[in-house]
Amino acid sequence: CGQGVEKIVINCGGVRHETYRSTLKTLPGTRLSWLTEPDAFSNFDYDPKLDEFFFDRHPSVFSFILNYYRTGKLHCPNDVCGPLFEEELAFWGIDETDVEACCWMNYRQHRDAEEALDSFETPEPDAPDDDPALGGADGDLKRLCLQEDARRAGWWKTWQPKIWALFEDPYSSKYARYVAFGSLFFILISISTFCMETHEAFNTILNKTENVTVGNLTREEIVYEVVTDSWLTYVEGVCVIWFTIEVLLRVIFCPDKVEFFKSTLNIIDFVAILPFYLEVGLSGLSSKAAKDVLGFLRVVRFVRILRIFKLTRHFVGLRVLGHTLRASTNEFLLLIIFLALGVLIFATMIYYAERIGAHPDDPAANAHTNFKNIPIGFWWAVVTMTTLGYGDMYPETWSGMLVGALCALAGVLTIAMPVPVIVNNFGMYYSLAMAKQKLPKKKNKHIPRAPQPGSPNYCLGGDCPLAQEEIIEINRDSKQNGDAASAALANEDCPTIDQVLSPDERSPIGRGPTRERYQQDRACFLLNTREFRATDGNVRKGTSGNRRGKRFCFGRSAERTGRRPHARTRSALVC
Amino acid sequence: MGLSDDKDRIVINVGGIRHQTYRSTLRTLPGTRLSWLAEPDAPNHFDYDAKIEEFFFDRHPGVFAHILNYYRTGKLHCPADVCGPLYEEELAFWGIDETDVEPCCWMTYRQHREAEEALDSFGGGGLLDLGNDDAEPEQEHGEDDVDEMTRRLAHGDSPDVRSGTLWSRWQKHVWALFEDPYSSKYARWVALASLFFILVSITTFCLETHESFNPIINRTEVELVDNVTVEHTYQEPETAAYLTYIEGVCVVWFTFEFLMRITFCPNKFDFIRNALNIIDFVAILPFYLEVGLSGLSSKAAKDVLGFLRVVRFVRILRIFKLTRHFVGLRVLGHTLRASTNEFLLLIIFLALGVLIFATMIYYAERIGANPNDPRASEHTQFKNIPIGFWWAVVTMTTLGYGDMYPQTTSGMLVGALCALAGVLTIAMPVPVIVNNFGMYYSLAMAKQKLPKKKNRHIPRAPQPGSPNFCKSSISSQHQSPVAHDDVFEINYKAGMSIFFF
Repeated sequence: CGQGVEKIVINCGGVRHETYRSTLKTLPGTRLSWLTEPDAFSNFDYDPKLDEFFFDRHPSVFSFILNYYRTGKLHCPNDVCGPLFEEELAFWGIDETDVEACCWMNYRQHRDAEEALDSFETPEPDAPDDDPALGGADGDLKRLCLQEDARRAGWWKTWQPKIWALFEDPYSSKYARYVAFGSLFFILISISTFCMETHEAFNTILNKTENVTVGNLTREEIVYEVVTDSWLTYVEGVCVIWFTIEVLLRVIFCPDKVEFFKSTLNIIDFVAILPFYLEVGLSGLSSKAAKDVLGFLRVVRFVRILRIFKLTRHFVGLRVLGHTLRASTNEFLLLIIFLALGVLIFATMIYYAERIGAHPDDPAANAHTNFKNIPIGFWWAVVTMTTLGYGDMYPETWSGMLVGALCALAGVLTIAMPVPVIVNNFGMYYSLAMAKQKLPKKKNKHIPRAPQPGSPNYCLGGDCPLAQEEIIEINRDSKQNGDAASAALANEDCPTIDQVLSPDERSPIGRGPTRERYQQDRACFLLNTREFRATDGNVRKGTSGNRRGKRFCFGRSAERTGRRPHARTRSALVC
Repeated sequence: MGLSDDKDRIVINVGGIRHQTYRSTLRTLPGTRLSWLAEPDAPNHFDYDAKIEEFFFDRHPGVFAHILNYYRTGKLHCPADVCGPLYEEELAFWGIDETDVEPCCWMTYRQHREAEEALDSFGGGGLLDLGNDDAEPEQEHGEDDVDEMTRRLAHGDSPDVRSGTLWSRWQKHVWALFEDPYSSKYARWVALASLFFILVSITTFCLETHESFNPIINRTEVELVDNVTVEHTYQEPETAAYLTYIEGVCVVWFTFEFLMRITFCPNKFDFIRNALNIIDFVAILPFYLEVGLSGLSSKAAKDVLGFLRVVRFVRILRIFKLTRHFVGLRVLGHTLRASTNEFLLLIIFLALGVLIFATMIYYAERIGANPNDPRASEHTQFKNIPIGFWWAVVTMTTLGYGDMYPQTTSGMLVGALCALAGVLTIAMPVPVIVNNFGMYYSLAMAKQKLPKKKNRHIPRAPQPGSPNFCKSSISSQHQSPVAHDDVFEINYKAGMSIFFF
């Protein structure tokens, strides 16, 4: 009969789960552990008739959560999507770092992917928000704010985002598409010119006579100079003018100048047009110094090839590639280390192997072989390991051939091993980018539940982040419940806290124009939610000694993406 | 009939979900936890609710359905939606031997185990213990997280920490300093220094062989041949002196490192058995021998020196010291060890292909021979089959140096076939190895990225009479991962478990 009290029934989404109270107590400070507290009946949806607690959550995920209490190991279900599990974890107040190592990668994957997505989406997905006609609920709010702005600031406010979108986001409007085509056309022309310039047919060699004074004697000297056909220079000039206009307009109309100059692409834009102007400016001068600078600039011309990176604005695939490379830096390094290791080992081996058959009279013992020293062997090892096989060097002794065969085999494996990791990254990002592109515009039909004090939703705030009623709730809550309870619940409800991420997690969102576009919103949001923050402060203070509170702050990093619109909603409401 | 049916039926409530079966079904696997339920005195040992006539177990209900199905059908399959270790733990709890898993599910079931074994070895490098205190003893690395608490408890009691003699306190610190680059700030400096010296030493090693650092010196030697003194002039390459000095400095550092490590290692035997440490030792040895012998001028010493000059190449082994610093290299090492079979397969495939195609090319190239040529090999580079091996390897790996190539039509046909076969031969076993690598790598990365566990789970107190009661006896039998409470339980239950078996 003592066991009757000991057992507890939790009805989760209609499925009855039964466990011991002692099991729930194994994780103090979580939602389920509060169930074991004496006042749980009043705080949660308790049915005295059936003697069970009701939670309106996913039942099968809950069995995994409950299993964590039983076994002390948190595994992820394989058949649910990561964010869903994440949300459940957050609801039940379990820290995601408790996930076992075997499931962590699975669990983490979608998060990495989402972070990546945030960086892809720079222009496209948010673009319609700029267009008031297209926005959904968000758009309405946005429009409200915008109109207010427009009334105050006038011309600049209306046109700045439009022109910025025109040049930044090729898909924002019909005109933007024309601009993008123009840009694409000029990029291609400029790149073709760049390549053709180096062909002999476009480079005539001119004999120039020059007066050189040596001592007191003036002597005529013939200098050969390579002169590029002038029409190529004119073509290049036209391209540069277009690029200059583009850069200038983008600089003028960008919403955040600092962000703009921090972007690598914009720096490339700038650097790629600079040499032309310098060259034109200096060609007028005939001083010796100007000549030297010109000669240098002729070499620096190669920065023009960087213009090819402008194409990333136009092709999603290139952005995916860039992102893959950034995300796979580790694997890239690994590949290089593997290769370096193999190269070192095999270069050494081939060096000694080829010396075995040396003639005794040969002091350096390398007259008969291509492998005169180890450093030159590096080249051979690279050519062999990548299975290039130019044939400029090859082993000629039996022992050398053996080493060569081993080297080729090792090379196949060495290259083959880290590459799939990078390729997988690419595949993931690419499919995500494609998914984002193909994903139809969200209708967002889900109407969040109204908060029901006294019901389980009462504690649920975090998952239906709503209007100010909650703020009131939080205060009430903190008075009512125990310390731990209030902390966890309140923090869950507090939007400022879910923005509190570890700095590295935060950076991808903070950066990028997407975010900046809402600068206005955010500012207004921060201004008007002072009371909100105060609440937050209270809660935090109240639980400073409590680990649970902090845990929630970081544990909740999950739904940033999902939460952003809510945050905006709230701000608008507060406005 | 109906009565016996009723008596035979049994209700098991697992985690709130009621499962119903016959007692006879449960008896199909004697010696398991569920089979004890069928015994008459079961209600006393388990959590039995007499009112509703059901047994209660506080376990995962979904997995239990699979377990019960094993009793019903005699075939144990794995659920696809749960992680391997979870299923493993449930199996251990219910007392079912994991070898009963059907072959179709065995691979998926087994996968995670291999991966975990691999993980333990990555753990050794201390990457997992990024947040650990410096004071944390090194022995903890690579051991299971689960046991951490018990170990810590045991550790607190152990006398060597309490009494804190100088040696036992510093031994761990110094050992961590040299062994685990991430254990502290100073360890990082030591690791950086070590890395620096490794790179310098490897660079020196490679440069030494370059002609510009090896001026050829004419030496005269006076030799006595039949009472006549003959001046004998010979040329000898001599390495530039400063390279030797640099090498000397590196060797001094490596020696110092090695000595520190051997002095402060907690287990000398394990230390000596470790291949990396042997490499450390072997790679510094030749330098000392060379220095020691260079003073002597006897003939024997000269011979040994000449030999040592060749043996210098063991210095390249120092590159393996890098494995301490790069987790990727450890993953590589582990992959190679785990993929020995596939590696052998690859070599066998290749050897087979090489043999076949070397033979084919030899005869194919002889077809167009001049009848006057007795050996029929004048016109071709494929003079014999062994030299054809080289060509076959170069072709099959798609290297194509171009030093040898078929020149007759039939030879070209063979060459084309050889290249095709090579692509397939290499392509088939490589993905297996690559998959292994991918798995280990993602695991290693998971371990790296996995935030420090807070391990807030407080194990339940052992409850005699509850289902956990039987847990110890079973898990100790099946060598399953034992929860900490079991550690305390085992002693207590030792007597009781005899009853069950």
